Amino acid sequence: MKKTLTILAIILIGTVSFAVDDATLKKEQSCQNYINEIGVKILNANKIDKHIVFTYDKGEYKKTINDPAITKRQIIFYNEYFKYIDNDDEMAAFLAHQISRAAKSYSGEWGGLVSSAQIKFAPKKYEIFADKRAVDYMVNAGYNPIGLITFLNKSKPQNVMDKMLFHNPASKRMAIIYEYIYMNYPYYLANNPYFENINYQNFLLNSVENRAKLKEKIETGSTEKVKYE
Amino acid sequence: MNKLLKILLVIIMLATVNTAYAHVQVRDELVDKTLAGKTFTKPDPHLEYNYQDTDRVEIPLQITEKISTAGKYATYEGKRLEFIVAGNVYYKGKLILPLGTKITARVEILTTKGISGIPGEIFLTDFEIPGIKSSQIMEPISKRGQNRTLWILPLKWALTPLPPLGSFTNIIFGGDGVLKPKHTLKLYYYPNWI
Repeated sequence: MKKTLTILAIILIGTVSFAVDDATLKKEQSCQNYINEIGVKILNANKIDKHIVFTYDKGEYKKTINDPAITKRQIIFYNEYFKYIDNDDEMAAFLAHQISRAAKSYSGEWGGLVSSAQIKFAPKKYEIFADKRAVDYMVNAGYNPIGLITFLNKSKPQNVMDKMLFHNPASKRMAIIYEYIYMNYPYYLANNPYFENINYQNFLLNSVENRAKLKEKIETGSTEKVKYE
Repeated sequence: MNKLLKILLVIIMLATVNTAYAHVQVRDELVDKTLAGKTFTKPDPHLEYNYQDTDRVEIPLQITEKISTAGKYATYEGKRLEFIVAGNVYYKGKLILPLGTKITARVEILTTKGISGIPGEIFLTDFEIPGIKSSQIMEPISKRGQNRTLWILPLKWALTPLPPLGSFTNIIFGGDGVLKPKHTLKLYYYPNWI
């Protein structure tokens, strides 16, 4: 009797453990499918004829020298990023930015090796490039590019050292994206469903000075680059 | 009873004030002043496609006026540019674009030259070609300046054992992206794509 009970217990424990694994696997598959669906939609809608893959990682992002988006053309979405994503537009925003970096790394000499090195040498320059291209990608794939602004407003800290280091201040990036949308896709600002969104309202609040600079540019008809802060 | 009514009244007033505050919004003055009242068409997403066909036709293009990423001929993002087709374009023996056909395109993104030999680059998109849909064109296309990273990188590595000589190579800039009427750009047209 004792023996039978022990065997039964082992079987039951095994079943429970399988059930847990199965649930975890299904959750991971569901996340992977969601990322793939939006990522591949962006690739196809924009006729990006380069091989780029999307990988869901349930772990946490750890900063390393290796940047798989430009070295392996593999875009990794860490589970913690979900904290900053409320809708498909914001997911598309993250993926479109990474896709533009990965696609850029294919261009030029030595199979893109030089371009990849340049993206590493001049991350600020290519960060802005990737943001602008991400706006185009999102529009072509049917997403609202304002999602890129709300995503950055939530997720990118304004590092005090940004001006001197390797990234642009988040406020500057958002202002440039706003101008790019204003100039190329004004429809999305004139018909803006994000106007009620608290993150977009917060962007409007923290970008008052930058938008005043853009207003001056528009009123004077200038074609010069605006120096955003 | 009277007291109860007073408390109720205060609660209602407080709730009203609270709701009023909840609807206070930061207005986007720029949009209100410059875009309000104007009608804009929603950009068409490109969600219907079929990429099975591999036929493609090369369209040679030449710009009508010199442009650059910086300097005297500096252009800007959003500017529409004029091009001409630099040779007769045929598909299956049929002339589809005669030499000299006018085409326009928009400057999509400009990247300026940078340290370590990074070149300036001009990205062109939104080509308007008679009889050809944008979904059938592989765009954007780009024109880059001189890519000095190609020789700066080996030089930098060679000089690294002699500090700080390796770091000096960082101050070498790449070339400006320049597009002259004598340059021929290749644009690819996929006639059987939808």
